[in-house]
Amino acid sequence: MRAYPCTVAVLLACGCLEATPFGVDPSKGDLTSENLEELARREPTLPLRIVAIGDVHNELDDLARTVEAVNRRDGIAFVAVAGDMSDYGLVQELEWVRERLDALDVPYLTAVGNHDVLSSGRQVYRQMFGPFDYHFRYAGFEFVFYNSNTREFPGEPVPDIAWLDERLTAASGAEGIVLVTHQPVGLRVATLLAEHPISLVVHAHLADHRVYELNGTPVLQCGTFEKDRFHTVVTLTRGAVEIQRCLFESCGPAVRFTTAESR
Amino acid sequence: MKPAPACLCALLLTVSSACVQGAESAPVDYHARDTDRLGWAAPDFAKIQTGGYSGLFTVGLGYAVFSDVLNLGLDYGYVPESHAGRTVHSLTASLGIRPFDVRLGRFRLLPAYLWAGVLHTWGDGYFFTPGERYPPGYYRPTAVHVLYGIGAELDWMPPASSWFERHGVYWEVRAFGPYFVTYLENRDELGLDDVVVSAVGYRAAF
Repeated sequence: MRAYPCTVAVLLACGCLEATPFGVDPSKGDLTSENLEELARREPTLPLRIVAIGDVHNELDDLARTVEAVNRRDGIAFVAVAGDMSDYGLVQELEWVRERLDALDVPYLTAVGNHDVLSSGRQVYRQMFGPFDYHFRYAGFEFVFYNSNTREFPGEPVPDIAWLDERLTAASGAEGIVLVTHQPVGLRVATLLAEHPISLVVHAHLADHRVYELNGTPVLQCGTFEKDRFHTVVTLTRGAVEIQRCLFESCGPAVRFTTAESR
Repeated sequence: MKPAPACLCALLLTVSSACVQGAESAPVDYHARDTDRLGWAAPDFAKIQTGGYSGLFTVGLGYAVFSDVLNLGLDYGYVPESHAGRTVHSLTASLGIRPFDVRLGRFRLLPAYLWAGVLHTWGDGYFFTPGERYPPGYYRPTAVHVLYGIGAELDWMPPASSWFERHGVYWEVRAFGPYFVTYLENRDELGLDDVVVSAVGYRAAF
């Protein structure tokens, strides 16, 4: 019987005795802030080249292959993850995705998806990554990541149109403006597209990879890892954006758009 | 603790107490797997446990049927905020299938048994259905998930004068449904050791 408490102590110490899947303490936190600091330490180059990926939904094998492929590409500044990293918003799911993203040679920045705020996901995402809405400037381009999951935040200003409008107004003088979010553009954000010169909107949520224009603004619909596992290389220059769909090491032809200038 | 689970635990304890008061003591048959001395309505065992996704501190009651080959259990689990970042309450309803045992004098070893459970928790963000804002089937439930497991148990049978029929310690290796599915779909990136956890506990049969 003396062995029993010793066994329990050993199992507790090794983490084998998992008490609950519904906890909210991630092993790493403030990842948005950490990645922005890393990005700020890197010398920007033009044209600015980023990678966008959509719904991962725990497709870890394909995410790991995508990370390897991105690491083999030259000149990528950072990776934008447009939400739905998880299925249930559970801390272990987000940890598994974070571990694969940590293998990137470049910083990564995320938008929150509707699945990411299920269960205790709101709290987990905030602790692991940071705020749902944030912005930064890099290589002269203004990037605005925002929460567009209206149904999951009933009665709350989501998306926060006032904040978006303020950020887009303050972005005058930028080389261009890129919005990154999870949900497709709704009516209220579409109005902002007409009022402000946006270079590109990146979103996910829907299964297909698609590139289209909305009110004259190029829109990249990233697709999902459950369906096609694409990642997209986006090349930004003042007044133009090129979008190239890739599957691991292989990329298709680039689609080029002329964009509105912010000056 | 929300009213519904508290009432359920209180009901189980009341039923078991009433049955104990009315029971006559009977000699213990060490060859029998479950003598049901307290009557069919009284729970046949109680347990305390840690781990296995069911809680840091878990208590449960259950019924042994078909000579303890099947166990039906209901556990309440608690995890304090200091351990999980938020307070977690959960209920686990379970079925154990335990057909094999080895008798070693006063000891009984169950070398392997199968176990499955339904884990239920509650709070903001946890639901059976997501509500009217969504079309049917938009989200799978977040408040209830399946657990799978295998276990082993070592029992000691006390003297006939004891109120208890058996004292047992058990170790179960369990998997949480969504994580196990993620493992099956990502065999390059995940190993079984990424998705299985242990539960250890003490089980008293009476």
